[in-house]
Amino acid sequence: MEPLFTGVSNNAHHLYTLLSCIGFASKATVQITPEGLRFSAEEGRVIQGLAFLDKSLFTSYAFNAAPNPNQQSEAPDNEDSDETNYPHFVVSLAALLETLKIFGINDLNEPPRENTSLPETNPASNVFSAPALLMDRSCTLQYASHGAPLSIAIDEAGVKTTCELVTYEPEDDESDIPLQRDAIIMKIIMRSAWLHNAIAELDSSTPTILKLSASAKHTPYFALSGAGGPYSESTVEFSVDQGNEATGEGQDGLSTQRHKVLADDGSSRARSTRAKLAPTVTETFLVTPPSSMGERIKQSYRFGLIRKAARAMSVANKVSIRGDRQGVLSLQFMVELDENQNQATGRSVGAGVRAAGPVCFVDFRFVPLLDEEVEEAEMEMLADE
Amino acid sequence: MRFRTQLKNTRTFSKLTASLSSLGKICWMRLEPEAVRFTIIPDQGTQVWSQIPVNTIFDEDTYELECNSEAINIEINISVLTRALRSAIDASSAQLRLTKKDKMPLLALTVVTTEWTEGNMALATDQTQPQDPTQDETETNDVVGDRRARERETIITQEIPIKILHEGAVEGLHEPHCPDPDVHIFLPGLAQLKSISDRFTKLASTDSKNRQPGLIASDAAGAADEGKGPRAAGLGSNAPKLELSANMHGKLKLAIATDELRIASVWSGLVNPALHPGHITQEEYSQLPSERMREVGDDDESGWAKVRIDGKDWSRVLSVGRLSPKVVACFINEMALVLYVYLPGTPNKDEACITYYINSFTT
Amino acid sequence: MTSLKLSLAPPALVRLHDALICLAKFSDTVAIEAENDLLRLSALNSTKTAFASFVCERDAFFESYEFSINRSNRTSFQSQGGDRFYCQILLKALLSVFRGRVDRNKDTAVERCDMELHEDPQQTECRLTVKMICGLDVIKSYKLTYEPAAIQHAVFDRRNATNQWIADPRFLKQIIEHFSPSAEQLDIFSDGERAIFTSFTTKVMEGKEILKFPVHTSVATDKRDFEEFLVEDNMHIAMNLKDFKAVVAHAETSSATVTARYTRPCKPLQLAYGFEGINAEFTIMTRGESDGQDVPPSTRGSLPQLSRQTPAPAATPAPISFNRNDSLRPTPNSQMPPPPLSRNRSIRPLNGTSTQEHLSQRPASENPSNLISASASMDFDSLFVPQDDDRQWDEVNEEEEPQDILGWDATGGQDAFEGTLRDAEPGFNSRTSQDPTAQDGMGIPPTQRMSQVRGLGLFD
Repeated sequence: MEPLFTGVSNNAHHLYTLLSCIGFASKATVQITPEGLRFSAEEGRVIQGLAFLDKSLFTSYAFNAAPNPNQQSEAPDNEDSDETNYPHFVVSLAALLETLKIFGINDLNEPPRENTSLPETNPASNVFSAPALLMDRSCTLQYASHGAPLSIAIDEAGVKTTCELVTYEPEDDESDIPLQRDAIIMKIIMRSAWLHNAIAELDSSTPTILKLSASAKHTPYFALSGAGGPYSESTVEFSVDQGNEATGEGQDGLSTQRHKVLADDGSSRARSTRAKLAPTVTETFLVTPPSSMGERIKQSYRFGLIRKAARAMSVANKVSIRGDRQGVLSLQFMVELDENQNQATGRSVGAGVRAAGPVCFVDFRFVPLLDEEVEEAEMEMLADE
Repeated sequence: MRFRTQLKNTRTFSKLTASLSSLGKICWMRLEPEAVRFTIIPDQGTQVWSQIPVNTIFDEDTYELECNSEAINIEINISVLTRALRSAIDASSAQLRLTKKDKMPLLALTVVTTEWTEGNMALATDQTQPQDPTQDETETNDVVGDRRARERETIITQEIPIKILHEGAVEGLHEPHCPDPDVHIFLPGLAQLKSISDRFTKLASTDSKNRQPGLIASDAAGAADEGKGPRAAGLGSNAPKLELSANMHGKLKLAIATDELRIASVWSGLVNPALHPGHITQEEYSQLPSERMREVGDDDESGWAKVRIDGKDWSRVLSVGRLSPKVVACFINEMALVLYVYLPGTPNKDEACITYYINSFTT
Repeated sequence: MTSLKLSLAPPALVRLHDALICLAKFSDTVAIEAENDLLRLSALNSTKTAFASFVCERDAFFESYEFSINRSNRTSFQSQGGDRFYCQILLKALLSVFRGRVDRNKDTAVERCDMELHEDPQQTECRLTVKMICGLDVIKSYKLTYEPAAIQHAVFDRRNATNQWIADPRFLKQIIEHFSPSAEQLDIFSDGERAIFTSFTTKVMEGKEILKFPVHTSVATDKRDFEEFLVEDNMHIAMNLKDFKAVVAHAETSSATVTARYTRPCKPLQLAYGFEGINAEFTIMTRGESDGQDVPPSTRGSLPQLSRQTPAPAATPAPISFNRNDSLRPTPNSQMPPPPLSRNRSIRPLNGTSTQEHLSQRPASENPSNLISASASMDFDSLFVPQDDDRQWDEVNEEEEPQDILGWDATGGQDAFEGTLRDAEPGFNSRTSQDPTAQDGMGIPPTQRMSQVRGLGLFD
């Protein structure tokens, strides 16, 4: 019988890179869809990470979705329930990641050595020193049928490794942390490196709480602080370019000129002095707190949870930081995968993919700390001392 | 009692002792006229017996050995010797001798070096990459050109406390005797084998201890653990057991299974070496278990010999890979694995050989 | 009202970090003293046998430096302090701020560091603020708590030093490399054309555990390898190897040569060097036979205890100068920020046999009577409190090499050498393991583009 799903990749690095972003949890829920594999990891219903392995990451991607007549007849015209038809199971993410690491293991460990007296016993063991032959490797993911193990086969350089991961039924009440898309009050896009750098900086003072503060009107426009650490309070502020700020406030000659021009319009002058100010590092900076919040958005999150997204921050190219009215924080990471690995194999990943390498997304969502919880967390810290 | 010699191939010597020291600290070193034997018999885990021809690590012309019996038997902390030998690497001369101080027997290593510059010893890390244990030799060699030799000499003396063992004390120690192997096969590159073995061991142990949350945290902790963790851990019955098996058709299989997964790597195209034809007849030869195994088809499960070994212990054994040896693995089905490790570049007639005796665990 | 404002350029920031790393090998806290033309960072170890000090010169080290002290409201208590300000800070706290700042994101690299401290007696909290002004208008700021402190200096009179040698720290490092990681003491003596460095351990071993006896290593160098070597022949002088290693490790980061000055055993030895606006001085108590007679290293089981030197009738004044900051601070201690000051002024001597009050490293500072008793005991006891060998050695776990604690290996790569193949984490390239940022305990890999992640990567 034809397996339900077979995906072949000649670059398990890509799969590893994306999945390692959500590697904070030991298990992940996998959903196979016609468009790709959706991996979701969570912890205590307060953090959720989601990595999507787009089918373009595979050289061949065969999903034979067996339509389930029962469910389809019942299903209303709703996208969500449609998705639940797709195969859905839980595997050990830790084991999957370890297995994927075996791919390319030789590249690290076997620097070409003249004094190795062994090679004649294993002609294949020398193969990887010749780049032209690197294409001789593949990684195949397969899910034969409902309840079958997820198998990963890695074939390279004379060694064939097969791993079968036991699949488990997902828990019934598993659901995503809800982000109210119609109540987004903050959207900040910046290079992920800057965010990673800031979190790493704060992390060095081992805080328990991350405080986020954003305002469209007043400084600090966007600041992240670590609180509850034993030694110091630290803050990373993404400030506005001094020149820009001056322009906004109309303090130097240049901006005055501009204001005059604008003032001809009459009404536009007032607006121009309120010209939107955005931190230098941000690409998009939209902060629109509801009137109940005043002019500033302030939210607190458990630092330990945010830290779990550090791998994603370090790997990703850009991050979109969004917050809804409830304070749910969404970090959406855009990962531009490196094509170099594939060039070595002389193949491209798939049609329609940019030469720069495929672009993938990893999402994180965090539940905010309530005010009482912030106090509790601070108390815990004191108790620890 | 007298022992004195100039060292040669100090790199090989120190890599040898470093490999041995991964299995145990206390080493029985037996100095004989033609060979030096290093034996480590830990309380549990793999035994190692090695026989190194004198001229592999010592300068034969300067080798002096005098004693009442046929050999001098020494008990030495092998990791201390390894550390001391670092001083001898790249030295202009290095001498090892037996001596006494305050009635305490010592092995004294006297090193004369004329090279004092950046690039010597660990200072080389300024420019080159930090030393990967598998790479440090080549890298240190690279900086030879930068060194300025000079006439000033530095003399380093390392005095290593030892115990002299009387012949009577070692009489009872015998190298294990094993039945003829069912399968004998050259192992693939040890670095690759070790990497995959270690990953399997890790897979099995992450499974059992439910992986720490937090990728960064666990990565950092993992790295630290592997560097510093006491090696005592892991020989217990709960430690992951790798299944290693091979057949006489050039295939080697490494596997491990846990509640969550089953994983196996298979190498093919390896060589099953011929055994020493030596003093047995053709008929006897064909009756060897391994020859009978050779008759079994490639795809027949019964042609495989299998052992179950402790992942961490195995990893320590494989650390001998730093010597870039040829390794023949002899499988005695469900009983033991014996590794014959031949050092490269030794004269063929009496090769330096390190033998590891690894017991198979029962299921 | 005291105020201190200073700015550091990135190179000075690196220097500061190096100094803090070094100080952390001596103590948990660093004493900071500000004067008009210098800032001193110092640390005294817990056994008071080693004192490390870095003096940063106002003009050469700082981009800007403003210090003012307004003594109008409490002049009477400043008599000892003069125009100085003292405080102490946990080194861990400072090191969490001044990490090895190798910022891979050049765009957001630190461009300037501003530090500010205002002490107002009306305020209970003592805060030091640090601001890192980075590229792309990123500002990282920290508030650190500090404590008032009594500052102790080991005083060393260079004029009296009769022995002196000068050496390249890299040369000294190469000598140290030969010593066993578990060696505890270092003996130095001159023998004709040779300067001999010997490592030994005073640990008392049980007779049957011969194999656990420490290795005895001696390195006989040619005196011509020193820039200068003017030392009395055959006079053995011994000190803690750990301290010597800490000095050499730091000196290596500078381009300076190290000068050692000393008189005779059981008197302090000073290692000093200066570079780029920093003057580093390490005053270390030595051991050995104080009569200067030759002691064969093998019989050094009978080393004199350091306490022997103190009762000498014509003893030189205790090598200490004692300065006290705002002794009568109006604010009660109970309102001080953490960590709380120790209220136990009666510090037991380390040998546990005397009830005599010893100088606390952190005496409660608001009590004038304590000041007197501390001063009194000081005249009697040297800076260097007797050291009880056995107890100290007991704490050393044999398996745990002291260098690991010190972080010495971070520079030397000893582990890398000794590490077996088994130790190599196959997933990680060795470059990563030596990466300074990988060692700061923070654990987050640096941000890079994927194309740069190779060193970290699993699939390189």
